[in-house]
Amino acid sequence: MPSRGDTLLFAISARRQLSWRSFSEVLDEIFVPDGRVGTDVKQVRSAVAALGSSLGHWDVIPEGQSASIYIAPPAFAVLPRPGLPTAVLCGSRSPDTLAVVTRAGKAAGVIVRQAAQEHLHSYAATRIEITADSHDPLERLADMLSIGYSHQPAASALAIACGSITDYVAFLPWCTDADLNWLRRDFDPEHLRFVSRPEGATRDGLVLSAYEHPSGWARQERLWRGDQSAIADRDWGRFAVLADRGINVYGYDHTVGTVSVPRQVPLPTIPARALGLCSGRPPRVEPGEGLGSNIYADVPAAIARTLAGKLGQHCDLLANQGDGERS
Amino acid sequence: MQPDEWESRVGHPLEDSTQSPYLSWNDALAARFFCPEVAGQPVYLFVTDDTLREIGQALGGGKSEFLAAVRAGPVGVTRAGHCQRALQVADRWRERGLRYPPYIAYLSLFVLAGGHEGEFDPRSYYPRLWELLGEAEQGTPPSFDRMLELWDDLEKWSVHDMGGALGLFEERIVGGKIHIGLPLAQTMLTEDERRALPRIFASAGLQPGSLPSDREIRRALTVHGRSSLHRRTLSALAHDSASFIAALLDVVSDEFLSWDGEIPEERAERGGKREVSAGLRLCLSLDRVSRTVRPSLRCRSKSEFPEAGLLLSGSPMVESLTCGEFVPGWSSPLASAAAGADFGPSGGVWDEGLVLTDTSAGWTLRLQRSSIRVFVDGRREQLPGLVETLDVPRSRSFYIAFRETLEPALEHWVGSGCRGWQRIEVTTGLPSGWLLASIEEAITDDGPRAIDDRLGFPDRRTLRFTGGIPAAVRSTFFSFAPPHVVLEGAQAGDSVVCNGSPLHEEEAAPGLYSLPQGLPVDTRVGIEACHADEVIKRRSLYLVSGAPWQFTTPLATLDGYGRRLSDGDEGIAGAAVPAADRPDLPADLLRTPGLGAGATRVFFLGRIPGRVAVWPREPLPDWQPVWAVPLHRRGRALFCGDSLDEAEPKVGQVGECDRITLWCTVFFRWGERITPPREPALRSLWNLYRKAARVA
Repeated sequence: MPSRGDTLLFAISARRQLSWRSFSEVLDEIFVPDGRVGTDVKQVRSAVAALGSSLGHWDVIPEGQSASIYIAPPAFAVLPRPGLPTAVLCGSRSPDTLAVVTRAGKAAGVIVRQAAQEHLHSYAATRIEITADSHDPLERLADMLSIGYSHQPAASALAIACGSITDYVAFLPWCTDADLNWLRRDFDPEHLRFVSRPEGATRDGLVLSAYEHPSGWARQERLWRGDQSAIADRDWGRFAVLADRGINVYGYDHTVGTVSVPRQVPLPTIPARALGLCSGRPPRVEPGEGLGSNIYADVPAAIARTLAGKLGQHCDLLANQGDGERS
Repeated sequence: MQPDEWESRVGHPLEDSTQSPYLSWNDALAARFFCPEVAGQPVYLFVTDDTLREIGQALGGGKSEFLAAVRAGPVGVTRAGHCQRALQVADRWRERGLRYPPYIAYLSLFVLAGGHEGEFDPRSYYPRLWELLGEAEQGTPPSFDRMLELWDDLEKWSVHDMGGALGLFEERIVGGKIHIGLPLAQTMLTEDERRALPRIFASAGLQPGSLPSDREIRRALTVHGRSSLHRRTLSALAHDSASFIAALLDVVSDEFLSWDGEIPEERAERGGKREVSAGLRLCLSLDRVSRTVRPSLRCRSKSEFPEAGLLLSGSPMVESLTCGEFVPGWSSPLASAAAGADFGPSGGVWDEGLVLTDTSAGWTLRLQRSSIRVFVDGRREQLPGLVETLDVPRSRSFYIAFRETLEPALEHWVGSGCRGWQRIEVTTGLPSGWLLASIEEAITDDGPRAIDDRLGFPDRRTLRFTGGIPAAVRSTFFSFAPPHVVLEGAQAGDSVVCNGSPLHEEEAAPGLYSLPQGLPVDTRVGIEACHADEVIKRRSLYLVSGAPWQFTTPLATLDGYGRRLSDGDEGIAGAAVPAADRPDLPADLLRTPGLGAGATRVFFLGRIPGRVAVWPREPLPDWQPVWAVPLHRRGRALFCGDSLDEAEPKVGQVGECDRITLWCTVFFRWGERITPPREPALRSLWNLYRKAARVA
């Protein structure tokens, strides 16, 4: 019996492309309340969509007021770690994928391991990991199965390819349109949540406003800079405001290789995927202030620093940097 | 006739269509009902005299010509009876490359016969068929019982072969008659009448997802369908035989079960804006120890909740309320929009019910008025506490809340109509004058039904699927996530069979049946609910294996901000990132697998004797180490090189003297304290280094 995460991944792979409604219908069939993922089904849907995206299985693409899920072509994502080259299978798969990879792995001299991940996240698919003495056998296996492969760790490539917050803000299509008369809440960078503002309140610095049409069926986020505004992505918008205020929410512990980010400010797609593919495992949820934090594991210092820079965050290395004995 | 001769005479659809009147009618009828305009929508073979007249215009004829064509049969058939000819023409029809199933004309004949008028007993079917054909026969035509195979095949063709692209034909049996129930079901309602049903359901205040009693459905049709149902249908409801009414209610019930609460007609009138009807249910949190009950209200909807939730108003009894989706199909408890506190429904709401609307979202929520309410354990719905249900459950424990004044009316039922009645003393939480009791099992539904005629055992059995992951088309599921079968309203002696084999009811969940492992994939699986030897409900299921998982061209690509790029543009897709000229990011030696956070001293050792760094006393090396050895009293050898291909020690090259000593000490002198790697290749390499250290 496949796990919930596997079932979901198989279904999305078979359907290839799903509207948000179809994705919700599929997820609802396997839904079991789990406070660790979300307090209600709406939150769970978003969290599960983001999880699959952060593990490189699919892409969630906003389309108007909704979004669609596109399964990614299967790819072996090399993990950014020293030692024998190791990769995890991302993207499309079916119930017979593991058997196919294992069989081909034997022929190519590649060790194939699988690990259930339900204990980490109720909706995480089984982790399929391959390892060999060098890249050659892994590449051969990928060729045999028509699966993508690159020597460069996917996490590093994503961190490099990730856009920067500075460019994001600079290249937004700023305009001087009047404010919408919809229900408006502004992102409060001190408390990391959207709050209602008194009418006529002035906007200082960069402000992210979330608007909701009175019918509840339309939503929009706009970044404001003085009297100029631009439609913005909610996740990038929050980090833009945090960067503008110099507020750091991004923590890196070099000793254990973890990046922690408050769950109230989810990372944008590409940085989240870069961090997710450092380990190929879902982020751990650590209870704490607010909704707690997402903890990404096995993150190399260079990736942590690169992403922090792209997000306008500081990467304070909490670990000892080699200037004395660790206690 | 030899198979080759058959092939040559019936093999090519276009030739046949032009040459054979039968196939011309067959294909014209098929094209009338199955077309791209109804993709994904239910299709009925609504064949009447008018349909034939309309279709016949292009073929130069009408009903008489159709009947003549069917009587003559397809070219090349050799069997005598009509049903046997239908079976013959259906035999391996897919192999002949026909555009449509070649037996549709026969099925149309059977549908037409159901509406054939004359001096017949209202319940009779076969005399109508014989008279329509102009044949002086009696009784069931030979092999008529095998026509079910053709209806099965028509469903398989529309659902599985065509993937619903030309509409979806679903087998529905009405009136509990397996053989004639299918043709009869096709013409019970016209397309216009079916389209009008959601509005009728909503006007009658019926709650999607909870099948009302036959009385309620009949009342809804006669009262709220006056302007939209045909006179023929309304008259049948008032005057026709009980079996016809039962058959009609069967069809309407099926339509009700697939209704999600939306009123499509209204949507068109409101400029595309949704108009949704949903239910409100009382929920109870019962604490038997403190004898308290905390009532709340939740919305039950088969329709998708608005992203921003609902803002509800409309009753003078309550303030503005809000709710959002909580678990699939259920909202969070209704709460005060101003204060945020859960809304506790007053006694007036319990008695009189409630209608709340969110005008901007187009939602109307109804709690029906009643002086008796039934509750069941909410766990089945993934909800805490007790949840109101709109019928009296069979073979299941439940709770009942009622007005104290009704106690005498329930007395007889409490004594003999149910088992395990127990009054629950509640000191706070229930409205004044209301009582609560628990019941192990209801034997009859007389008591509650006498008080509220909507509240009783389910009138009809419904066979549906729950759980499982649906594929693109109705009734199709992925083989890796098959559904369960649910028989609701089951009665003693009912059974459920799958492809002829009985299914076992789950002990913990009455009415729920698991499908067996290893069901055939990509073909029809027949599920039947039977009572004694009679099939009373029938459904088809298709398990599909899914699409191939290997493909290389991304369906969509993203830029560095996660925004979609134009089709065909190179970009990020899942874990695949276009190659960049920029240098890779350096590896982090502290991420060596096996190097835990607890390591307080790590020796990084390179290929050349003397290449050693002791971290954290020294910085991490800028040269490529091969081994990371966390070492205190004991240690572990962890491989941190790039690959095994270039990892062997280079003993010819040497570094600084004291570093060489340290390098050798780690491998050779302290080697016994260090656990070598488990993998054979790495273990061999480690031993090679130990030997090299001894030499060096």
